[in-house]
Amino acid sequence: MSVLLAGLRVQLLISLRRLDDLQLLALVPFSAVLYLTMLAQTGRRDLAVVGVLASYVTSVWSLASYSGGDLIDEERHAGTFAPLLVTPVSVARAMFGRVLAISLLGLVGLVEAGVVAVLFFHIELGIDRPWLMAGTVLLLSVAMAGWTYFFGAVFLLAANPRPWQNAMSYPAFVLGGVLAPLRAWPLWVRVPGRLFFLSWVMDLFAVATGRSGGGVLLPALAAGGLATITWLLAWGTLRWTIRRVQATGAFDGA
Amino acid sequence: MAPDRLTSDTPIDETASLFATFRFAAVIGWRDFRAIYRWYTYIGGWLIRVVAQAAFLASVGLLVGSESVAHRIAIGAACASAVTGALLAIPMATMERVLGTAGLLVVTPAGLMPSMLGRAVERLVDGSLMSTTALVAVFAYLPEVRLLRPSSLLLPVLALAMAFSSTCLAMTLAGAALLWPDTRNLISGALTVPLTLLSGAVLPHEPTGRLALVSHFVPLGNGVRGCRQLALGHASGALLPLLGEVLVGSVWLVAAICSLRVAESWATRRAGLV
Repeated sequence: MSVLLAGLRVQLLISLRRLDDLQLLALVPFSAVLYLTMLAQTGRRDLAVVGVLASYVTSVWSLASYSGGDLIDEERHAGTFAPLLVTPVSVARAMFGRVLAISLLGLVGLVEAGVVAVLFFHIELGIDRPWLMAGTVLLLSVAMAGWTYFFGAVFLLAANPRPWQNAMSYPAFVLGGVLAPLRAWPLWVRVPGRLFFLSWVMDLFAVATGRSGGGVLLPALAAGGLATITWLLAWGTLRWTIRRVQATGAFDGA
Repeated sequence: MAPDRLTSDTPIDETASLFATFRFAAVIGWRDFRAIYRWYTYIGGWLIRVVAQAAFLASVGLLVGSESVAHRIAIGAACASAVTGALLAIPMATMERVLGTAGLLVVTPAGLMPSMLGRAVERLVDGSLMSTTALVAVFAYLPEVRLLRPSSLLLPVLALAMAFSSTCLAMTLAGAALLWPDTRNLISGALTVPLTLLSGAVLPHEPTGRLALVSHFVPLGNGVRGCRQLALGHASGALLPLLGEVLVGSVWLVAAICSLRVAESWATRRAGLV
């Protein structure tokens, strides 16, 4: 537990001082304005909550992809990766608190987008089932922490991860049904989308905000199951990556 | 007095020096671009992302249950891909400071401006490629639009015009990013939203009143109108917007030159670049 809390604390201190992380959060109100203006122009102010959630989800993804993706690589370039490998705790455990912190930092984006909707668009955000909403936000944070792990491990092997970090964002938002629910998309988007945890999380958000009368159990189980698979995959990838780094001796990013 | 060999007897042809620097910087920018991307990462990563971006924004139409809104936004968002590529010129301009070469550029006979503009040429190419790809994909997908007709040849021309005007706007602000490099991503990220909204690119309905007037003066606004005319099959209706987009781009080019000259002057006096 102390390792987890230490990781959380370290990452929050780093992120709150790092302009790249703060810039991602500073851009959330802009994306909220974009989505809310588009929805307001169609006359569907009742769907404003979708715009708020879209801003939140896209910011969490960006944080996981950019900040999380660079996590281990930065340790390597700072020369602290080799000492990390010989500490009594495993790298995976040492990083656990840090990836969770990045994921939780995304909650700031949810607040920002909500404030923009209320203050600038004078929209009342209706949340029918607050507990389900809170649970879904928690589920998204934990699942995204798994993705952060995964990105960190995979991008450690890439010579230049930036093209991949840029490339993954919008395809993921489409497959996740972040703006329009997956059922509104053609079949060739719906099928792969259902294998992606974000589409189930968005279903839970739809139920929590009263836009869908569907059940909770199936999306919750599917999202939880896919999040668990992501964690296992991330854990395995990280172990394999570290073994590879140990074998090649590329501790310092050379 | 004996010559100190530090100055040449032959006077420097300033215009030739400016163009030579611009040309070399463009080549360096292109080499940088090729170092970042392989053909498979460009097509499989970047271009697919661009098409997905247009589809994602168009899904607002699916959300509100209006096919016409989805189709309208899809065309506008495909045009806006040019902006996505062009605005990357702002963070890339700060690379000179990261590499420690900004100070050297400031003291060259040609100065900072031609090399900055030259390096931005690859953004122009990338932006127009991105926008053309997204527009072709959208035109091919929309059932009411015919892609295979002669007027569609204007699509890459309009995409190039939109990338030109957006890159010139980006270079106008690149001077500020050069002086305060930490703000580079914030400037480019924050600029995307007002530009796509004020140009009317991603708005579900045609802008009216003051917004319509403003959309004629910001990059993208005229180009989007031209592409929508092409989607309707009116090739002649796209020519005036094309001219408008080039004119807007030219005004922003002058602004970019002035802005980079001011940044250069500030850099030598305040920012400690030299």
